[in-house]
Amino acid sequence: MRITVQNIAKNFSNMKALDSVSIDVKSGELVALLGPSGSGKTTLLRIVAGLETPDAGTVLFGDEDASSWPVQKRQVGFVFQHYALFRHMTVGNNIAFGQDVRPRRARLAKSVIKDRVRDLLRLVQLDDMEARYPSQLSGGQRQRVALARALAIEPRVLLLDEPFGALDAKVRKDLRAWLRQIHDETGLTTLFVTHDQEEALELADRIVVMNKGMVEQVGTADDVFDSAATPFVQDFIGESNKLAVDILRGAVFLRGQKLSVSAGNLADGPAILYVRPHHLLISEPGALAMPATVTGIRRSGARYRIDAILSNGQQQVEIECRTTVQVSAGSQIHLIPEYGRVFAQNGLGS
Amino acid sequence: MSDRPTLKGRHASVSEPRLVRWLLVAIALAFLCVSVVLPLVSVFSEALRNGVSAYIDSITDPDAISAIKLTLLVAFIAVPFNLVFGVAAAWCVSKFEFWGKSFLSTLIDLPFSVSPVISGLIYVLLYGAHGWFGPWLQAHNVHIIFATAGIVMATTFVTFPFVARELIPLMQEQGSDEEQAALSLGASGWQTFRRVTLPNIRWSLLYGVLLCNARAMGEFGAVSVVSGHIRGLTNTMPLHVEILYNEYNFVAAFSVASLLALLALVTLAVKSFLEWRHADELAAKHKH
Repeated sequence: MRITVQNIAKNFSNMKALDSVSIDVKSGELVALLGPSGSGKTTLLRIVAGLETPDAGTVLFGDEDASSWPVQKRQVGFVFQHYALFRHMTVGNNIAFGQDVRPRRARLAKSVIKDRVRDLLRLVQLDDMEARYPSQLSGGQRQRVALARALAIEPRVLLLDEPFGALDAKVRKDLRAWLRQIHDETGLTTLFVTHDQEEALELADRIVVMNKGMVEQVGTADDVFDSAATPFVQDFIGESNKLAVDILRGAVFLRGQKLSVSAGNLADGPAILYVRPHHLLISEPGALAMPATVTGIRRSGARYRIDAILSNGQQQVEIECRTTVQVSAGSQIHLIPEYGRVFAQNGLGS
Repeated sequence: MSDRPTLKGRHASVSEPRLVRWLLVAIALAFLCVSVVLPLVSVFSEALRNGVSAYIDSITDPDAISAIKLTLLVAFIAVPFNLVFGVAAAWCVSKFEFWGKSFLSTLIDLPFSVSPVISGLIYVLLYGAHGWFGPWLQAHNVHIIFATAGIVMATTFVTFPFVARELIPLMQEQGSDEEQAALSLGASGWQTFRRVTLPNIRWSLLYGVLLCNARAMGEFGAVSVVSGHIRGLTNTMPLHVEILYNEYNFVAAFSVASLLALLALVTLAVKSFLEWRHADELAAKHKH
């Protein structure tokens, strides 16, 4: 089911949690709401679920205005950050809960519910855990029970609040792949909140980057990583070197030295150049190469990370390069920014 | 066996000498004997001083029977009332944010901080013959002071915090995630309460009700002010004990008192059982 959020605003005692937010989630899409804490992403998710009431704006489920629907009527599968499993019920009863509370005439027969629970337990790979209590499960298992419980009500959409936030790194990675698989199998429109950019980039069809209650950018992983729309997105996603530069007739200058990146159609004046560490190439001396002095080298996995100070203006940069490069602390090197994004000074949101 | 030496070492370094330890234990035990055990034993021994038949006679005396009945009736009304309102108050305070919440929270504690006698006096001031609502009540032939209604009201007031105070810390600790999950799964508000909230608080609730009941049956101060001590009519067990005692009818006084003591012992036993069986859940509460 397609979910449309239009001009949603929400205030919490004088704090703007959401400021006229609009997003559009296509049917069957897997979308991530990504942002730092306090960006309003969880509030937005809870508004879609009906767990929170917006001050203004509408939420559409398909073509229907769901704004005034109570949470029960929205039929959303909501997975809570801390699972919120019913601690006094077995795994089986947790999953069956959504069916058990239906009015008698809408309820499935007991045997059908039992079969449904079995099927869901198989889907989340917890076949023999039906009689266990939540306290007897690991974090990853609890998360999977929570998902099975949400799926048991045959939801129109699946909403997940920081689904892997409380799990350790290894389990997170496994569950990530597994969630993608479940999404592809069920074809459910899915919206999930995360502050982990890696999770969003890897898992989502599209990413909604949020900051201070507003949407900064909506796009694919490639869009937000390579073509950030705002300085915030550029800064928040991946790492960037920030260099103070000047724009003059479409060209980018670092203290009078022309650089190889394009300024697009930015007006003349001071600006900020964002260059990712792996886009700074060590090269031969040349007109477009920035001279710099190496101050330190660190090994980071399969690559080197080099700290250097630019000779022009003494700005610090970090370079990521292959381990075949021969440098040491104190070496003089020359750097060419292979790719970068330039934003006007006043565009600095953060 | 392997950790014995370390245990011993630890003991030696953090413990007092043996003599001091024994002395402290002895003092504590002696104090308990004098202040708790001895009075308890004396209640029963005084009650049975003239034999079992005298004991039975005193507790089957019509006035005693009526006092027992009234006490049971008061508890029977006050405890369920406090059960319902205690749960409602705890639910409000722990699961919702609203204006005036801390005020409500303070209000719940009020009966604990006010002397019971004052509570009784307030009721007399409000509903007594010369009280604010006195003339109106008299005109409509409603009797509150020196009647069962007043006793029930005073008892309810004094015992109000027991259930709420027991539940609030637990419910706050549990948060409202499970309730929200239940709602998102399609449960109505009532279903959520009955199937999720109530099972999560049941042992604490029972514990609170137990304490509430013990206090409701044993309450003296507030009840004494509003009851008027009319024998056979508005005397509860604690008041009846006092009257008998003041009349130097010791055997009868202690016989009725022994019933209250028995109630206290049963309460203690059930309370210990709950603490032993459901320690985890009860751990969230504050000690009174």
